[in-house]
Amino acid sequence: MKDSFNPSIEPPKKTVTLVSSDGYDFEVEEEVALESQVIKDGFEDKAVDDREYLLFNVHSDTLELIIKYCEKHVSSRKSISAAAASSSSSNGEEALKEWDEHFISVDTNTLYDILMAADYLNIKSLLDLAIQKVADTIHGRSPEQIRKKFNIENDSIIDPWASE
Amino acid sequence: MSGSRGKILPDDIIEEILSRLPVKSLLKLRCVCKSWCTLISDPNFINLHLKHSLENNDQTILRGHLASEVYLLECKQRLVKLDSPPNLSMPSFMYNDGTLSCCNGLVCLTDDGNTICLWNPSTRRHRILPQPLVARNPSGYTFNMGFAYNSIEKDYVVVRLVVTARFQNLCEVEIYSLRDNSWTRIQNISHTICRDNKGVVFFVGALHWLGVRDVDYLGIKVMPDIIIALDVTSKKFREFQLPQCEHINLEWKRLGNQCWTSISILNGCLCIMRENDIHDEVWVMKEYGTKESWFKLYIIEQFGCPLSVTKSREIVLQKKGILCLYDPKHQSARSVKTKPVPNGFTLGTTFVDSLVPL
Repeated sequence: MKDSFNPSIEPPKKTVTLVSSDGYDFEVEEEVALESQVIKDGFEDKAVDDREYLLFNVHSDTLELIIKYCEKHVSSRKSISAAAASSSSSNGEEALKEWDEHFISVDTNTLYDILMAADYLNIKSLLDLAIQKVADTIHGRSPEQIRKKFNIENDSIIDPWASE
Repeated sequence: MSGSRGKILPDDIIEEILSRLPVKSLLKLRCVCKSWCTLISDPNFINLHLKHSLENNDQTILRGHLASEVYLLECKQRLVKLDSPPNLSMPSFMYNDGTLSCCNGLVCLTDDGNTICLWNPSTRRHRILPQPLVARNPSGYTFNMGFAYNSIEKDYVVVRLVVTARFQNLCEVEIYSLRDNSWTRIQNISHTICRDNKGVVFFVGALHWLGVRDVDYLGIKVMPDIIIALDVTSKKFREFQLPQCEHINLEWKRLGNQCWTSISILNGCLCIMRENDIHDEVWVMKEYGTKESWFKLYIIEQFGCPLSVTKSREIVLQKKGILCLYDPKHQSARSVKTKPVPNGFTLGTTFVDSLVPL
């Protein structure tokens, strides 16, 4: 991440292409794609003219969400550090937290897809967000409800807490 | 998480999800299936869960005069009375006699300093420790306790300090190891511990108590003027001088002390809070171990008696058995909605929800 953000001397943006499992191309700014640790790790070794990543495990519907998340985080970080540099007050972190909360408020299947994609692409903050969301949704559920939700067969011999 | 698509989450993700749930939920979820039951009692999982609790929990545990009066301040707004382990309460001759010390969700609790209990309020397990080696007359001289984790030995330890002779600058010290389930004597210290506030803080690998450097011949001087620190791995003692007390509290002065002092952690620094007749003062030791770095961070205008500091840096105060949270940033206090606790609170410290077994 750059130390300070000055739009006037920003060089032209480099982009990379992300290809979803169903064959759609997404052109995104390099720094947005680098939010993924997996892409970042392979980035140095890749040829300069080869900026295409085939994401076999991520469907275009999910990839769109993931890109939206990464773009938001890259831009928020810049405005937070710009505010810090000019020592002006900013509620950037609070606002981003709220944005995250809204972003992750999705149906079960979408949450599953985001979780798996964040794991596959190794985007730690998004993975944490999705995991916490799942934890929040199962908090207070009965064992039977959990089995249903997670597709788990009941192999417990005794079920001493079932009545609780 | 399978939904209609029949997808199943990988084990490492399941582990991450479960590690973010409160212990109460996890105990119920042990019966979901065998693998979850095994996972929830696995030491690596217990550590992962503890790590998340330490990062995210913001709870304060408090005690009253007796060990049966233990309360948990949850989410900084709800006060819940906990079911303390039985047979611990020893209505003792002195007020403020009992102790409370916490580490990684385990609580060390005693009233008389002889019957000592380790307790995990989340799992509701407890164990009474074997009798300590140094006898203590319950109505006699003072004692203090501290509970800590020795990260080198990977063992939980209880440290017990006992004053065994009047008017002497001497404390006898012994350490209990949870792994060995036994007590060992270590070197004595040539200071005495504070009689009126038995707060203790585990910080940077050491336990910290309020202490008195020189007891006068009449045994009257009990004003804490030092912090006594014990590094739990090297078992070496250090002492840090406290800043001068600038104002006094007449009520405490009658008891031989000058003002109420308590000890806690604030902004990653050791801190002391003093209540005198004019206001409360919050001091932080900016550079650990350097007495010149004591800095008066806040002055709180007449809110009450400071007990502890929450993780989000609010100060827990009590006024006539009512708890208040003081936010130094906005200089405002709000009271925790609860019935007044009969005998008020004597000690408070931060607490986390954990599965650590006993």
